[in-house]
Amino acid sequence: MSYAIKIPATNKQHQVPSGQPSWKNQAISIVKKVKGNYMPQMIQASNYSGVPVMILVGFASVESGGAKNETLTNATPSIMQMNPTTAWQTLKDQLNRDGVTIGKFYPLYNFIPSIFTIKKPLPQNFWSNNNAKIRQNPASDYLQLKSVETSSPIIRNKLISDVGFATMVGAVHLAQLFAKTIRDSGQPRLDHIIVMYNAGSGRYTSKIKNTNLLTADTTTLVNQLGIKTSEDYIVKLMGVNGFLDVQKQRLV
Amino acid sequence: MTQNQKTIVLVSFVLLVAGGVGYFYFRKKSTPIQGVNEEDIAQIKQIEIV
Repeated sequence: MSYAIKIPATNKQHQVPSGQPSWKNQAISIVKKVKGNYMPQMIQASNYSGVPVMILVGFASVESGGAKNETLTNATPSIMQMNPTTAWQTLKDQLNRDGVTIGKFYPLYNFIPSIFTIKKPLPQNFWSNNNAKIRQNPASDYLQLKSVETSSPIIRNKLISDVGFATMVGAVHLAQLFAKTIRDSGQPRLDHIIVMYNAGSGRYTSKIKNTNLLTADTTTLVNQLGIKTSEDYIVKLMGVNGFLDVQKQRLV
Repeated sequence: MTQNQKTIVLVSFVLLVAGGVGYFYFRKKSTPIQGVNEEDIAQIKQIEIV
């Protein structure tokens, strides 16, 4: 079974002020920068999370505007513009999920071991064939996440200093949101995911989940959502000549 | 117990059951964000941009 996301998902195109280069040229330029700077990290995060590279590049393009990771130091840092608290929750949800083994979780742990408490010692030479059976044990048997208060400043520094970590945790968060929309509606709703990523799951619930917009198409959603930043985000990512469209057309 | 009291008890019981059913129905529809395991990731890998 395959899940198709049609791009462009709406006939809308992001409007740029007069005197600026066309939106299409801006989108191509930004995607080119993100790919040129961070393609290995995008591929690594895609392989780990299952989220297509094109979508990761698209989110990083909207969030960073093509800027380098270490320059994006506001309250939601990195090219994925992640709140450290959200990143902490993402790791916590991942650690506690049934079926997530220590072998699968280890790469996340290895990025930032100082925010974890060791419950049971991890074997030396973790990737040795001798430890193959241990790697199938639940991750939560071995690790516990420290409190959000302790972890957040460490996560924040890591997001800014290590684009590999920033891309990975952003990709895992997106994978969690994809899984939620598949559970909720049987389909991966990228427009819904954008609202959750950009405006939070609380506003997704109040503006989409509990309204008649849950089954609306992307254009109707953009017209009626009432969250300007998320409406713009959807059009930039999923609209005509958007960050996904220019990649799909192989213009970058 | 008078007939009116019996009716009140019966209606209250029916409303309680209906409320419980409604709660679980809507609760089921609103799934939390949770981690992804291999099964979830296998589904996500089926996503295609077309």
